[in-house]
Amino acid sequence: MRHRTFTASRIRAALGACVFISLVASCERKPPPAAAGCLTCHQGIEQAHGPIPPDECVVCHGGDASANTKQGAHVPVPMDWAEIRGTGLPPAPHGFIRDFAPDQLDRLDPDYVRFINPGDIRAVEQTCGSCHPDQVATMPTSVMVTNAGHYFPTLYLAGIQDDRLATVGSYAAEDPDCDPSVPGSVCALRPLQPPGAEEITQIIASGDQAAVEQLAYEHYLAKNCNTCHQAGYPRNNSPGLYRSSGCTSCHMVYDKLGTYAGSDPTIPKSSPVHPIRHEITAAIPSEQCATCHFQGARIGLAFRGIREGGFKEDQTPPNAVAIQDTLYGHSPGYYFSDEDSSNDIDETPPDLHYAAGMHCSDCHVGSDVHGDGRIYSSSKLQVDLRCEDCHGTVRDPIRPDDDGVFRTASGRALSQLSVGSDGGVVLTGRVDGAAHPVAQVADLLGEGGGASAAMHAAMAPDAAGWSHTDALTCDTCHTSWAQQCVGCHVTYDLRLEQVDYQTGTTSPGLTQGGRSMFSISDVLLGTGQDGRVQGVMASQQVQMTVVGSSLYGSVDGEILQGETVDDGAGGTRVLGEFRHRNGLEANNGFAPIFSHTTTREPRGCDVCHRRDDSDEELARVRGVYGFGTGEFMLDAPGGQPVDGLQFLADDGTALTTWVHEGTGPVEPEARQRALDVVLSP
Amino acid sequence: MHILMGGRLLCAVVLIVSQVAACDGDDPASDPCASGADAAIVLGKGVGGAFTPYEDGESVQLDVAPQGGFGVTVVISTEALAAGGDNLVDIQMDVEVDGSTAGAFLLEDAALLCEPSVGGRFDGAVVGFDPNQYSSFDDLLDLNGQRVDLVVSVTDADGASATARQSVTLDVGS
Repeated sequence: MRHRTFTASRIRAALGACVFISLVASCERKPPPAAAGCLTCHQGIEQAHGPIPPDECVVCHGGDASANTKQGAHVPVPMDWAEIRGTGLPPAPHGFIRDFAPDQLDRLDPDYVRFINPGDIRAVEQTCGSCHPDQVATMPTSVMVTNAGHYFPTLYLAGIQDDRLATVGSYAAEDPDCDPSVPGSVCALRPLQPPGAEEITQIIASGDQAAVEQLAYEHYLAKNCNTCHQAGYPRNNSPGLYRSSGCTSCHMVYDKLGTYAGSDPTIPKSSPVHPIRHEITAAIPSEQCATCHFQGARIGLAFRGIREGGFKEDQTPPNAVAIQDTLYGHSPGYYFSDEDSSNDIDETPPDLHYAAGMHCSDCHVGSDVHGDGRIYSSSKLQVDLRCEDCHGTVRDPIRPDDDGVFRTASGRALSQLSVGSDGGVVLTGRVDGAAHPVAQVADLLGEGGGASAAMHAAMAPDAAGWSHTDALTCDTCHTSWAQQCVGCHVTYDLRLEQVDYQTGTTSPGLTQGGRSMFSISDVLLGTGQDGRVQGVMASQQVQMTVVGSSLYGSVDGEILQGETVDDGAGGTRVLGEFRHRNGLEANNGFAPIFSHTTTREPRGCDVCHRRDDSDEELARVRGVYGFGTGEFMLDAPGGQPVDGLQFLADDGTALTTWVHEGTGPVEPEARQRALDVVLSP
Repeated sequence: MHILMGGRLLCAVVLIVSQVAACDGDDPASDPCASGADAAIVLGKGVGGAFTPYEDGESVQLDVAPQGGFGVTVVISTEALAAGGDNLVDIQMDVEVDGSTAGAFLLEDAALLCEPSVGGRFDGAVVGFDPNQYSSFDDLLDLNGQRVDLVVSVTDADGASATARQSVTLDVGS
């Protein structure tokens, strides 16, 4: 323990404290000047939102602007704050809630939640909704709040639910006007509530293996997939993770360290969790989105040219460039910016839009992010923006409507687009304010457009009027890299406890998951939701081990799911069970995905077609269509190793089910046509 | 009346002294956010500005990071190391089990924030375990209840450096 000495700095600190106390006391005692109100103490604070005068803090925060004291002005900390906070979270100042889980926020006095964060979904009807009723009406049911897209795929792949519709989420949601005919939409969601101690004991005593598996998956989801999304705050405790909840989780910008850099003397500048400035903005940088989107499909990383690590040394290229920064709860060196510093190539470049100064918020606006009032089972159903909405098709450039407004194919206004002085389409960047020219594919392919012969061959309609773009999404070719993570070993051990990020309290069982292998070079193709071919990502390849405890009626350390095998080094190891839905050997997840690593230079034709007619080439290209590569073999209990990048048997039979309705392997006829092509040398 | 005048006089003296003291910025040793010879750091826990120094052998949570990896999330409090403004530091974060290094990570160019009259502060640093040694669930179980040393060194741009060695007991899960 360090011994402090009474130095000049201490004397100054004491005197400073004396002066500070006298100032604070003056805030407590003196009536605020008539026009000042809250600003008597919060002098210099930024005007959060243009239309609201700076001295009208109560419009958003509540409280009493006419009070003469801090106690009178502020909404008091609820009496049950400490009880709700519980003992599972780190020490915090009295009243601190910026690491609360959704259920904890639900239990708090809503006036206090509003006082701390007027943008919280529990407060927005009174606050943001006063002027933005349309957005506030739809936002609480959007996937960014409900988290539904992370829950149902896991439960479906495991056979715990039979349809591809969400039933649980991070937040209770209801759509009274629901229309079951809208694909992937549901009428209501309930919060995920995994079984508690008593029910766990009953499940284990029953010997029902399916129930044991469901128990493990539900705890896994609640404890690992619930740290993001706008219904709550967790984890909010490490660089890169700092954010708010609700509307302000996007519209109040936080920097990496979560510290305030504004002018209000009462807001600390040396510790999180505070926005950079007390300002609502639509200029949302991609780094803000990445506070959550570093997980899931990792788009918040890939878009910026960052590849996830955390693999063993033999999985790390010798000249890879690690980012020496604590980010997203990981130690320095976990993330990589380049695979090989000894060459001039960046194997994991950022998306060309990011490199040009654009951000996520330049494209994803309106119902893409706020929702449209439906409760969708997946973000893939809520997000309807397509490359063609800005860049047109190979046949037609985009054009504004009669009101001069550019719109998506679904009719949403894209207010960021306009016609530039040269008659071309320009996008005005929300963050950089720059005018970004938006190339129109049809113009490039047209006379004098400058398209290369290769571009014409690949994209222009042929004599029969057919174009590759009729059958392939743009990103199928214009993607520079995508990270495939293969083999996810998850253990659910009932001998320990862990915080459930739905409730903020500890519950039985610790879950831990880790991937074993990755690839940035393997390309997989499947059928996307619009029926066209699209790149596919290996997803949720879970092998689950469940370990029992005497606390819940089994023997400590008993393997309730999984198989103990020889580890080849004189010991044993446990192989988790794959998911066996409908008798499948390993129901690994695969999902079509736009990995957001757009490149001007497309993938070569030889990625998807054979270079020659050798057997090796045929095997390689068959791997692209899901017949397996043999590179990533996963040990399976009691069976043959499973190829982590395989979803079709040799005869074309499906080896896995696909999570998203309408997606799957490339249709057999189209697949065969592609396999039959042998490129000219 | 005399008491009132005396009070005013005392206040005036306090204000003058505080102003004078505030102007002695030329003496870096007196500013806990300025680089100095007697640099020191303390490891602890807390969120939202709270800071509680670890006690010897204190039970601390071993976090399982979102996509794998194990580590202890700490708050670093510094004194006499250049903090605030544009000051960047390097933070070497090691963990030792039975005297052997079980993880060593360098956090480069970290912004060390200044809490006036208290010192520098870095929240949310992750003192991690080497994924080559510790990656499986069995490894995690082995670490549960282990007494380990967190060894953290902070070096500022002026070359001033301090190291804290903190013995803690790992608690997995709860």
